Amino acid sequence: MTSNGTGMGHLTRMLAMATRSSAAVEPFFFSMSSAVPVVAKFGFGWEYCPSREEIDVDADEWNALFDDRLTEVIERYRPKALVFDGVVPYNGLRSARKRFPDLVYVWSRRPMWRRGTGRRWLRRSSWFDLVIEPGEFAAAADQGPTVGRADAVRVRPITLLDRADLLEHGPARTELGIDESVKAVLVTLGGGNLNDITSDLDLVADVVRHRPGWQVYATQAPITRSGVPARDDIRSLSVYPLSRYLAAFDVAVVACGYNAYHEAILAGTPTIFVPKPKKTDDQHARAAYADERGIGIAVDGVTSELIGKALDRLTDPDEAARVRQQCADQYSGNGAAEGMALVEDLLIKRGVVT
Amino acid sequence: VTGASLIGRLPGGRVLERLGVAVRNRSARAVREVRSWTSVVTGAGLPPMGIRSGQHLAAAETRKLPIVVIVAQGLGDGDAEKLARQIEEMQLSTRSFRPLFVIDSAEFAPFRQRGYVVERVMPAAELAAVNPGDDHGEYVRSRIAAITRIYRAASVVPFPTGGQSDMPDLLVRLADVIPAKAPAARNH
Repeated sequence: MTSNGTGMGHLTRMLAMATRSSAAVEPFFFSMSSAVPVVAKFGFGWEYCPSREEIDVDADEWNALFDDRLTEVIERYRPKALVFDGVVPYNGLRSARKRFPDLVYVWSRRPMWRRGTGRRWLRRSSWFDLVIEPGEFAAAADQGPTVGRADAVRVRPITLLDRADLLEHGPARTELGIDESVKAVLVTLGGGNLNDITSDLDLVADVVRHRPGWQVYATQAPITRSGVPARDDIRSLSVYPLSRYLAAFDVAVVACGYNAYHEAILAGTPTIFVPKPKKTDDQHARAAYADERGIGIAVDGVTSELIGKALDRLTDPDEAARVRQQCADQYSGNGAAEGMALVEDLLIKRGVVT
Repeated sequence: VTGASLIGRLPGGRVLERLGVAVRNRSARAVREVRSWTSVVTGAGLPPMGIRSGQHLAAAETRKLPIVVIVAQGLGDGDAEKLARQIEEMQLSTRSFRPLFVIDSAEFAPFRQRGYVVERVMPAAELAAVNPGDDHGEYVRSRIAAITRIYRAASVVPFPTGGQSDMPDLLVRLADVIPAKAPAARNH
C-alpha cells in the first residue's frame, strides 16, 4: 500500500520490493497514487483510492473514505500482510489493525525527514509489527527525527533496478532515439507544483538553447495533472523506469527526492541536484551531501548562472568520468531484496507462509 | 427543468434531443441499470462530499453541487478524452452538478487534467486474475454502491460500452438526473 506523495518514490520502493518477492507470496497494490497503473506492467494487480489532495476534501471526509475503501479491499482480497510505504500512517490503518488483527502490518519508513517534523507520526510506529527503513546514501547528513531510533530495521537504499538491469550508453540512446552526436540533458523535476517545475524547466531549456548540439529531454511524471508545456526545443520523455535509460544522458538535472537521487547514483549519471522544499523530505541536506561526496552538483535554486556553470563542469569529460567513478565507488548496492526478505521472514515466523 | 429542455440549452441540443429519443427507446437495459444503480444511494438527506468541481468551477459554493457518478466501463481508445470533454461542456452549460467518473481502465489523465475526481474498478479479466472466485458483476455493483454512499452522490449514470456512439445516450440520461441550473453557482 502506498500513499501518493509528490513523486513516484513510495510506489517505486514498493514495486522494487514486490519484484523481488518469492513464489510464496503474491504482491497486490493498493495505492493512493494516480501513477499506480505502472505496476500492471510488472504483472501485479492493483486497486486505487484517490488521495486527499487528489479530491481536495478535508481530513475527516477523506479519512472516512479511506477507512471504508481499505476495509473493502482487505475483505475482498484477504491479504496476509499489509506493507505501507508513506510518511504518515493514516488513521484508517489503526482502524484496520483493530478490525483485522491477524494481518501482519509493516511500515516502510523512508528516513531523511526535516529536523523537527513529524514526531507525532513516528509514534504511529507502534501500529506496525515491523518497521523497515530504506537506506539513505546521505544518512550521515540526516538530522531528522528518525535518526537513532531503534524501532526500525535498516536496509540498503532501495531502487527498482539493479546495476545489471541498466542499459549501456549506446543501447539506451538507441531505444530513446537519441542521436550519438547530441549532448543530451535530462530534466526531471518530479511531480510537485507544476508552476515551479515548468519555470525551472524553461530556465534550463533557455540555458541549453544557446549551446549548439545540445538537447533537453524532460520527463512527465504520471502523477502530474497537466502535461509538460509544449516547447519546440524540449523533447518529452515518458518511460518507466527512467533509471534503465539514464546512461543515455550526458548530464541530468533532477529534483532531489529519494527515488531520483538514488537512481542517479546507481546509474552514475553526472547530475545537478535541485532540492525542493518539502513537508518532511530534507532534499536540501540530501543534495548538499551529494555535492560534498563528489557524486554531483547541488544548486540552491535554479538560475541561469548556477545551471550554466554546473552544466559546464559536468560535461567536461574529465569531471564526468570522475563523477561516474565516484558513484561506482560509493554505490552500496540495492536493499530491495533485503526489505522483501524481512517481510517474508516475518510471515514465516507467524506461520502464514512456509 | 426537464432533461429535454436542458438538452435544448446545450450546443447542438436539438440534434441531441432527436438522437436521444431514439437512443432512449432502444436502451431499455441501460435505463434499468440506471434505476438499479441509482437505488443504491444511501446518502440522501446529507450534503454531498466536498470534492473538486472541475477546473472551471472553482468557487466554494460549487462544492455543494450534487455529485453524479458516471460509470464508464470498456472505453475504447480516445473515448475517455471525448467523454471528459463532453461532460465538461455539459457541466459548464448547466453549472448544476459535479461529475465523479468511475472507469475500468488506467486512463485517468483526461479527467484529472480537467480537475475531476476519478475512481476505478477492475475490469473482469484483471479481477479474475487476482480473485478468480469473484463475480465481476457483484464486484462492480458493490464498488458503485460504496462510491455512491461514501461520496453521498445524488445519481449514478452508466455509460454503456460501445464508445462514442453512446455519447448522446449518456447525455440524455445525464440530463434526466441532474438538477436545474443552480443559481448560486458561479463560474470562476
